[in-house]
Amino acid sequence: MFAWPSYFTGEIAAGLWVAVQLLVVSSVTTALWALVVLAARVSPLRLVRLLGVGYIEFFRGTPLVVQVLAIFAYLPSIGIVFEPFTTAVLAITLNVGSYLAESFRAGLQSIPSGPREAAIALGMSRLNVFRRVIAPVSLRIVVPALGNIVMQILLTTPFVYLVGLQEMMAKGALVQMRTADFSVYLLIIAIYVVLGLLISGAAAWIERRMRLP
Amino acid sequence: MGARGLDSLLALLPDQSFAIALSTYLRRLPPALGVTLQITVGAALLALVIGLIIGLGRTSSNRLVSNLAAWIVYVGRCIPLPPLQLLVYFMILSLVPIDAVVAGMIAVGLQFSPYMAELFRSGISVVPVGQIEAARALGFTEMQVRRRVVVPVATRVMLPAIGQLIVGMLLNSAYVSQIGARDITGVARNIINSMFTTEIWLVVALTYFLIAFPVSRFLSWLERRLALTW
Repeated sequence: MFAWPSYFTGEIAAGLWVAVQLLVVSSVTTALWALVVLAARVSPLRLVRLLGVGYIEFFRGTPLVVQVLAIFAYLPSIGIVFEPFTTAVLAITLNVGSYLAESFRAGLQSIPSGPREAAIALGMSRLNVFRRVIAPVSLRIVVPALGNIVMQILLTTPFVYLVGLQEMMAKGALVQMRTADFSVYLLIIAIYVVLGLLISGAAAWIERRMRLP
Repeated sequence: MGARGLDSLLALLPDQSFAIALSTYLRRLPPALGVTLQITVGAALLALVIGLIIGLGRTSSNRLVSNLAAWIVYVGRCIPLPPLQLLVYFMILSLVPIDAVVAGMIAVGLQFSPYMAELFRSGISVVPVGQIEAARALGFTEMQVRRRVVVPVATRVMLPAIGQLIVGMLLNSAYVSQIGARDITGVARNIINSMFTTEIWLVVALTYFLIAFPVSRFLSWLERRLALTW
């Protein structure tokens, strides 16, 4: 194995820190946004439901690169100027949120209606039905899905340097421009593999812990 | 409708800079669409071959082979497209001249191989042991068991999912514009950079959507049709 020269590992480390912040912030915003979309998707109002379906299908049917570039180009033209970090979070949230909302919906549909009806028949209050029956079952369905989503967000983060965010890919491009050394991308891939294995390992561990006996 | 008829229609648009950009985009779209589809097909073939090899490796009875294949999948699923594509492109470029389109095919194909491998593995393992044993009891040779039982059943389960992965490859091929390929996104980026008409992005998104959405819908329908019920 060869050693990467220190003049660029420092820059990549700075980019890694930005990428990790991006991962944490967008995981939270994506989960929250997906809940909003889910609520729209299953709304009793037809128009709201159509909006939800339209958004999900459109974002799942168009390339991430196009979404990122479009958001980056379009926002300033209507007078909205965000920091690159905010634009990046927005792009990731809108993209991954569409996939997450759909997987939440699949999870919701897989919950059998029997236990809920039984709880109502036993005279439980609505709050208790949710707290004691619906929430425990849905959590066990949603949490493993969240692991996949953090993975998906991780794989999405290296695209958002296109909005000018100084994360690892942007730093890598700078290093390559200066030194003509493309092995910097191998270092970035290695970092992503470590992060990915940590996340999927943690997700598998949580899933094992939460499994019903 | 010919190019002239289109132009006279576009002349009616209130925003003429948008109309000019749109007409340029539509004129350059057919070859660009060809490039996008070319990358998708090349990447799909590569991912099918590599995915099949790794997928068969995962179902191997040799522990060393199956563990190795499993780790290739775990590691491969963590590799994002952007650094992979730039590495592939510049690494090959340092040895031989390579077209951005070919580099894009290789990168997208490699990136989707682990997912393809998992599909093959689940497709193979979904074939009920009873059916395989029944075929053996009827005197089928191992080759016949594979050809007449395992492959037809596995294909039926895998086909829609493979299709969805190929749609994913089509959407991911847009990143090839970053290394200068003149695919749909690449052509659009040139037009937008020179004409400052950001509204074209919506047309570009719509172009991809009009391909990806119907195909994806058809595959979901196919999945329901082919679903095994036993």
